[in-house]
Amino acid sequence: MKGKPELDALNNLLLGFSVALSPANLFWCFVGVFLGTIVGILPGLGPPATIAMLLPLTFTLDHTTAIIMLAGIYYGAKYGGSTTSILLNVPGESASVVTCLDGYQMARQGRAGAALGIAAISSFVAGTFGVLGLMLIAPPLARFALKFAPPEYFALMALGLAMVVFLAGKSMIKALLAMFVGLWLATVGTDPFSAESRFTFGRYELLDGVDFIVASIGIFAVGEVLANLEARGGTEFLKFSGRLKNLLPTLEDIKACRFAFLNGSLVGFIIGVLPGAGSTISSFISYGLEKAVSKHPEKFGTGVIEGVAAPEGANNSDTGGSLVPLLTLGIPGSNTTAILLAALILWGFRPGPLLIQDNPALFWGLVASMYVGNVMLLILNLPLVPLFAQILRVPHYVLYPTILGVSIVGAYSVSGSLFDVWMLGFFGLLGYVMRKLDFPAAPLVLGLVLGDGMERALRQSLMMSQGDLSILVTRPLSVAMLLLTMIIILMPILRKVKDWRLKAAGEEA
Amino acid sequence: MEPRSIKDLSSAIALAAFGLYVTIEAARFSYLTEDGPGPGFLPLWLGIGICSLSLCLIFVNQLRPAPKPLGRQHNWSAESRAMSGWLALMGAVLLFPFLGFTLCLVLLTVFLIALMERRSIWSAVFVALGLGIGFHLIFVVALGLSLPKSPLGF
Repeated sequence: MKGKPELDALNNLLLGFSVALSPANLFWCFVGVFLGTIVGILPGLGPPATIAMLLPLTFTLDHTTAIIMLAGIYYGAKYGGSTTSILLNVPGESASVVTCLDGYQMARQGRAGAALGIAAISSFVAGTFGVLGLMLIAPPLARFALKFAPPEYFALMALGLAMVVFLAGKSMIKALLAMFVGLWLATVGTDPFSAESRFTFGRYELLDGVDFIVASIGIFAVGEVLANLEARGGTEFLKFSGRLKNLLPTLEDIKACRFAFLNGSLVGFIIGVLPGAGSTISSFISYGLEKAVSKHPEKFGTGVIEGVAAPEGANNSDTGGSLVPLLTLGIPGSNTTAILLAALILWGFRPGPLLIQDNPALFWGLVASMYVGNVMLLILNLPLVPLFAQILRVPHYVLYPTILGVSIVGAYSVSGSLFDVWMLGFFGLLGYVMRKLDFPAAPLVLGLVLGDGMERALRQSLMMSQGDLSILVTRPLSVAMLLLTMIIILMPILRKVKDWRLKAAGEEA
Repeated sequence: MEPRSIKDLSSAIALAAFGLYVTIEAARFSYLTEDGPGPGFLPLWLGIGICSLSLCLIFVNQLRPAPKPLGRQHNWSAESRAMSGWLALMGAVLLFPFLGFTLCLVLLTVFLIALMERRSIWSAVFVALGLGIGFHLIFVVALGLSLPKSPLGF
């Protein structure tokens, strides 16, 4: 017999907490989130590799305990990923690239502690929101996600690309050019439909395409070091503010981030639910949205705290979202969730519509452990902020080789090939040249991230319609997102027209 | 209004040439197949887009007022320093198969600190050895990453 749905949810959650709060599960949850934080901080060892390596060890564990630990690694890495982005301009993982834009600038202004602190708080708020979403609306949301066919994915990617409007610096033309080059870079490699190799210059290493992490580390980290090498003494490098009150975000900072918390939570969760969309897209979109509604959009990119809170929130809320299709439909949306799916199947579970019903202790235990894990991560990360911020005390001449070393390790470990390190050098030079020529780097990275998915979705859509482009504008979800895209693209033009009118009116007066 | 920029003009010309290359190369792939758009579909439009935007950049740049003469030539020493750092990095990568990651990082660090930052050779060697050992312990010993090794085994 079924009770009231809200009572069911409460009973289920109580069951979940009774599972998650057992000493063994608490211990393994801590192990998972701690390992995840370390993995997030260190480039070269992402959550998929860590989970895959630890998978054999979980055979001796209870399955619920094992999934609690593995999920801890997954969302713990999202917390840790921001640390190197903020302190060294080296994205610890792909979803933290956007955090570099304002986080690193805050560090340069002596506010690294505030940036790290707000990243932890935002991650906590949005991560908890993601778990709430997973708990309350998992099944209906999963059905909604299934309505996403290639035309909807294309529209989503177009919406993501429209964020170039918010990532552009002084010149929109330069931002668009950078984005187009990024989109072209995404076409390098084997064509997914015809298996023809495109723009590989005869190098077999390029058949798999240009790795996004290698490009991002090169453009942001190596480019930054090269720019700082211009002046002996690295005068403009990082500042350190020694007082403890400067190491954590102030109440005003937290107030300023109210909308960013909400924005990151919502955008991250919704995009996380869509298989294949990825947390990198959610972090870009939430950053763009934050800038769009900000009272001071012109300050984004110069060290605005909301510019850290929104993407960090999005990439954490995304974790809860991405578990929705995994647990309710058995569809993994990313590399990490694919390995989690493999683990569940290996242990004899069948992720899908009946998983929650057949294994309530596993599902609700996992949900409750994510609440507990998020609290653990906040307690673990906030006291570490002053410790991490000490890195800024390191003299610049020690930081340069350290950043280069970390970048090399990060690039090399992508595929264990020296070619990726050469690519790192190439992108480092490209990042430096772009900086010298006043081309914004973020649109190039945006194009590279979204290019592959956009091309795939566009070609699949046109295959579905036998070449008829109207398929993109005849489906309600797709048309709504394309309209939103148009509005975003037209916004700066309308703003310019308004400025001209005001100027003309002023001159007449 | 900002004055006309030689940087914008030269980068736009370079990008226009690059866009032309992408367009020509993309034309080699099939634009449409029986199933729908082919591998040349998106790259062709990207090439055309890059060319068009580059021309826009040239046009916008030409609309700006001419720059005032500066009176003195641009000093390239800053760029030369950055390029030296980049060449040192590339040199280290070149030596990876022979000397391994750790030794190359040590050499790169000595170069950056002693030659580029003009610190004492002893502080350069001290920092370089510290970094080399630290990286080896964290990434190779603790995390088990397989980084390029020298014939000496590290």
